[in-house]
Amino acid sequence: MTVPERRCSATAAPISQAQRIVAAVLDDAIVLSRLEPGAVDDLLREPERVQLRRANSPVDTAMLIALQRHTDGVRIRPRFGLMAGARYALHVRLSAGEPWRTSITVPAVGAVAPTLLNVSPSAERVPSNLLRLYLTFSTPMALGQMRNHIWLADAAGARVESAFLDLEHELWDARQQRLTLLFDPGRLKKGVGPRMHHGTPLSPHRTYAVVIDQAMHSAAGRPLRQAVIRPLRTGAPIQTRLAPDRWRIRSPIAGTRRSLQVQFDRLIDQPGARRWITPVHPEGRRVDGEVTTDGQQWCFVPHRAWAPGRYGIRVASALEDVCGNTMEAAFDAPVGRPSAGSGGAWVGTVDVDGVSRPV
Amino acid sequence: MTADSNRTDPAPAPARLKSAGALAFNDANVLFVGDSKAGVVHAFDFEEGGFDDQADYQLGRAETFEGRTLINGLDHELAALMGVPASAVVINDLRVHKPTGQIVLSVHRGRGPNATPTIFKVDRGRLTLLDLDAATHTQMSVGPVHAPHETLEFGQRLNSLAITHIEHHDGELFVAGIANETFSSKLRRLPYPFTGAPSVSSIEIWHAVHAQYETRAPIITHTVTELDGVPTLIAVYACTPIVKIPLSALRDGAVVRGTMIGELGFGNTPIDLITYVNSWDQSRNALITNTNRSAVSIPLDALAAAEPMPHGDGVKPFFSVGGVAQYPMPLGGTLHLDTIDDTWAIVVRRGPEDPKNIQLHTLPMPFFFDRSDHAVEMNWSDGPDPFGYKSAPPIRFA
Repeated sequence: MTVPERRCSATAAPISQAQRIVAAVLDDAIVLSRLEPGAVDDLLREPERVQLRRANSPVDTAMLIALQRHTDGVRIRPRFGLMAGARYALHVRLSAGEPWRTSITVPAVGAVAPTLLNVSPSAERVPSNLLRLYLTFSTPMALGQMRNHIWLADAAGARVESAFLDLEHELWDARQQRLTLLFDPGRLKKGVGPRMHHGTPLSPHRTYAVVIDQAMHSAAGRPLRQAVIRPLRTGAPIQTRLAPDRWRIRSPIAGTRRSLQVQFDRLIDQPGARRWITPVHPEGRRVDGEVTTDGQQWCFVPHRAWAPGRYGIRVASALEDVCGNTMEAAFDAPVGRPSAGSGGAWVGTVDVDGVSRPV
Repeated sequence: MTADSNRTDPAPAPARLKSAGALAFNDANVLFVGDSKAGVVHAFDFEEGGFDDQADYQLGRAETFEGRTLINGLDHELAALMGVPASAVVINDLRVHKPTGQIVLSVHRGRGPNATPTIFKVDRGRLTLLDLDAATHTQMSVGPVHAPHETLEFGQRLNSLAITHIEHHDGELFVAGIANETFSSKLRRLPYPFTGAPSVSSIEIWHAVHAQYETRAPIITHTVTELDGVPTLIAVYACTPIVKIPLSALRDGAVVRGTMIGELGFGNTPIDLITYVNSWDQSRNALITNTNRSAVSIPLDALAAAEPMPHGDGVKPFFSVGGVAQYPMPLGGTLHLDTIDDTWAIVVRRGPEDPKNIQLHTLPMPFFFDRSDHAVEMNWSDGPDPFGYKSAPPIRFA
């Protein structure tokens, strides 16, 4: 913000220092220019003369800042930086108690309204004992909104109370674009108090909706373009262990880069399917390529053409279906499972030759 | 760096923390910080004098059940120091350094993926930054611990682990967390000091239901104490049971089922679980604070003696554990809690008169009860005075 200089005339008073000072945003700091050398020394000696606050701050406490000499003035560097689009109030007590005030606005950075890109699982029907839902947004989102802005509605539009586990620490990925909603395990587990008293969050063969209200906003503060109502239709519960030997595998053709395909017999956790299922070269090393999966099927396209041979498909023990069942045990495991050290990977085999066939 | 004076030299602040969540102290001067974003636990070893002695700071008057509000509008004060609106302040945890009584807070500035993690300390009621550069720093990874035959594939990022609680006991850290892709129930046990090689013991925690089912059980919060002289982990599962597990059962690679001795109801999530001594009768107790109901106190003797709870048929409602009563404690609106000593607890709470006023407030123990928060008949000028409140002069804080 610049202060217009007054014209001098023979009878006018000298322009005061306060009238000359210029404040500007530079990188992540505020630079005050055109200070007299003595004034700069005073400020560096008594830095509490400089007070920076957000405009309209309800409390008197000033921001933590550090001061440095900067050409003909000082550089005011907030300990935690400046925020784009924010307005600040700067008070400087120059020598002899002369107060100087200005208001500074940091230029805003354009932010795009977020949208919901994907809900996983996205199948026509999900098991009624679904354990997890993933919501993927188009841009990083602000933490702490799940409790108030996301809920499950029944077919009549009424909120299903306490369907999801309400944790202080929300379960986002590192980019804060994908949120894990965990259904309350206490309402899923057989014989446990919350399920005994309040039932499961979802019932079989019903229609629900995941609702995200429009106030849900990105990390940059932009709310959703519109509220989201995503239907969730349930089928029967799935309460058995994962059995990869029931999956249908279609072998690729040697010499091509056609995909190796696995059709699951149930909905598999989609991030898990990406992470825990890997093809193994006949010589035991990994095969480089790209995985795509929607939790119903899994496709692998290699970077180089398939060499003929017997490949493995390795499924790590961590893999879960969308209800939390693993190869080791169903979500509600029979007593006595697991025992220590019993979890291991499953390895299926697939022969790659001149013919593509189901395995 | 102090909050009440601005420095003239540049503040370097190398960013070791990627996030600052769960806090813990050992018995000396080491502060542990759970960093879910980096997948590590940091250890900041301060020398003597690293924390400020708060012994001469008046916390209230316990004899007349009067606490003290150290800071009103705690979120606004932190926001003002960090130059953001209060809505951009997240207070993640509170812990007290017991030798000095100093209160430490882990705070995030901002709610986006690049939120700035910070540790503040409270010095005689004033917020100041804790200078982590004054400490010797080590760290240990607590990323998902894979069995030797399991490898990460395709260079994918680790399955994120939200570290929910850290507890130090006798030279070890117990770290609980909730994963965001698997229903993982691993409890991690790390020896401290951290040596070069990772030496994390991973224990699978399960939950037995009836004599019929068993399920994995992520732990939300826990504490380690002695029950009948036996070092024991008391933990609260995400599906709500309170369990006890002897430390001797928590061996690397073990699959452990805790003995369920109580159940917290649905629609509520426990926050903090601490142990304390009732100075009136010298009994040892556990306190659990909750998001959606008042806190509960359970005598440790009752925990030690508690028979495994029945499941399914005969599941008792919240206020009864195998026939032993639990005591509701008047701690609604409590966001974070720790004890300072046997006489005082410190809480971050929603103010009793204005829930938008986030307070840092002391509560006299053993009842965690500040009578000014409540409509108590002794508060009236013509009410009964069995404890002699009216003869006590009004408190004046220096």
